[in-house]
Amino acid sequence: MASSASIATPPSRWLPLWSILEMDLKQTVKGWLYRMSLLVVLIISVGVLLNRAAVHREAGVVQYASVHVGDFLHYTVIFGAALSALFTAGAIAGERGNLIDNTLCRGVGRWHFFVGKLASRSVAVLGGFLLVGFIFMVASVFILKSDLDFDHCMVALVLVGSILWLMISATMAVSASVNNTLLCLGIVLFALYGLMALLWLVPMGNFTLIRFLNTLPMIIRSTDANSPPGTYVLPMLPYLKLAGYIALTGCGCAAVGMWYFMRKDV
Amino acid sequence: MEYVEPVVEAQALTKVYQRRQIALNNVTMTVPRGCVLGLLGPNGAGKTTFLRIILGLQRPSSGTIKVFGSKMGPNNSAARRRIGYIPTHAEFPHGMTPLEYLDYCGKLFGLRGVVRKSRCAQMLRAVGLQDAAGMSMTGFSSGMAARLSVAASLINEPELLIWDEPTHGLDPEARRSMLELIKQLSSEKTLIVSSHNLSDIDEVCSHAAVLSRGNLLFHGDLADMKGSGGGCFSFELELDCDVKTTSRTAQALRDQKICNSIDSQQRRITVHLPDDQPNTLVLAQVFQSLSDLKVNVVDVRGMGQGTEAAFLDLVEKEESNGLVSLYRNAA
Repeated sequence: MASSASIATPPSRWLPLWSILEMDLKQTVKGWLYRMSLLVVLIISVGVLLNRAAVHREAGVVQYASVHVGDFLHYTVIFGAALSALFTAGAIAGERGNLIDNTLCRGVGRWHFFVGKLASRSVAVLGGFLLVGFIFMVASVFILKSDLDFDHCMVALVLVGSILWLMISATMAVSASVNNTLLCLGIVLFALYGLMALLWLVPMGNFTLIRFLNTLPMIIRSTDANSPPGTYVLPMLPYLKLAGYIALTGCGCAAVGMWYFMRKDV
Repeated sequence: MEYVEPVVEAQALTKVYQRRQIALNNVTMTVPRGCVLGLLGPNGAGKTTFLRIILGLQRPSSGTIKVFGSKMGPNNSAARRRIGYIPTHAEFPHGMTPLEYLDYCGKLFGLRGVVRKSRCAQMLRAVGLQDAAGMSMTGFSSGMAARLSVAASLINEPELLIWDEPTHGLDPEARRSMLELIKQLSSEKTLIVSSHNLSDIDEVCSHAAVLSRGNLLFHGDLADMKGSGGGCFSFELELDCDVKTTSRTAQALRDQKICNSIDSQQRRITVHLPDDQPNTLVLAQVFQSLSDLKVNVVDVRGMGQGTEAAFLDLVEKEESNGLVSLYRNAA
């Protein structure tokens, strides 16, 4: 007699998740948008570094690595967040129709699909950012006047990475809720830049986005003899905590998005 | 007698899209194990919605659906592992080869490496895509895409196959092999086949369900549906003689007034049988007359007119009878 007890147990629980991640990562990394963006960021970074190196070495105006790495991280937050949204918006919303049917009818759970996509986009975006950021930092150490502290640089990277993760997970949550990539992108970018404008306009005690971004060079600076006079080394723990809170908020966004996606028609 | 649990049990299934369109209206039906169910209905009847609800891709607005005895929903992946699905317009991920695609499908079902590799090879061979295994799928014809979809739907060795218009857009040869495949599979699997082509349904299905504007008009044995429609049966006979003799034979049969009407075209005659007599008796008389006329028959083919007539009759009745049927159901 057939019964629900006879439902075949999956040979591998994690294989569907891994296959979605692998497939999506391949497609994202092979996509022209991703490659083009990475190339443009690399070209701009190299161009800025060469320009600063010329000023530092030829004109003799000392260029501190911390200032330029700080600038790099600053612009990563402003433009990288939008790029993260761009890479993530189509993850689910862009596949509505036969393509998503083709995957979801194969015995994968909705959570497999959501987590697989989220992980793939996170690896693609954060991997790209960490790669370029690390290259920029190492190059700055050798080309400009090095005043960087390795541990502090890692904290800054983690902090900016957590902001990008928040963007990715929030965009993924919106992508799982709407049926159109452009609509998803519109909602996320409107919310992102609206929030930035709000943070800029509204005084929130000691904290504004600009003030936060301006502290980035200070976070990554060391206190050796070569440091500029009056250098103050910030304690890292509050920044690590902040990164943790931002990452947790990202997890919250992802959880809400997944919860909704698990109950939604596709 | 041992109770065999139905593969699909739909109870008062209703689906309303965004409070605007009723896609399914109070549909109750069961799909018994081992049957080949033909899902019929005009465009927008709710066929694809019904299939997607069975797969858990959509949730019903009200009512319940059970597949293999467990409630189906978006998160019932265990039941979905026992289903093979082909959508109407299969769409494949970009930049993949058939082998990569089947491997991906196998992974989605959680099949481990050794099993997966052997199944992929087996399926590609079975659908005749072995030589195209490493080719890009971008330039695939609709026939090749359909064959790949079949392979993907069978890779997990499913017990239930749901094929949404499997012969859509296929050339006659590909259509014929698709129908033959359905016949072969029907001996060991349960199939739900949606199609607009009534002769396809007539050829391969044992059961039928007719949907129109979201309402289930008929559900049961295909032979019962033909009976309920009251439509007449038609057969096409290909004769072993020239065109002139064929017309003469047709005229002779007309004169005998055995059938409702007789058409002749080239070397074929089509006999439309009356519905007030057993069709075996009428056919016997037709064959006796042909024997008397010394004409041999090369091929006999059922025209599916019975299904078509029954289907059209059901749809017409529903369209003219909305309120009456509502009150009849309520009573």
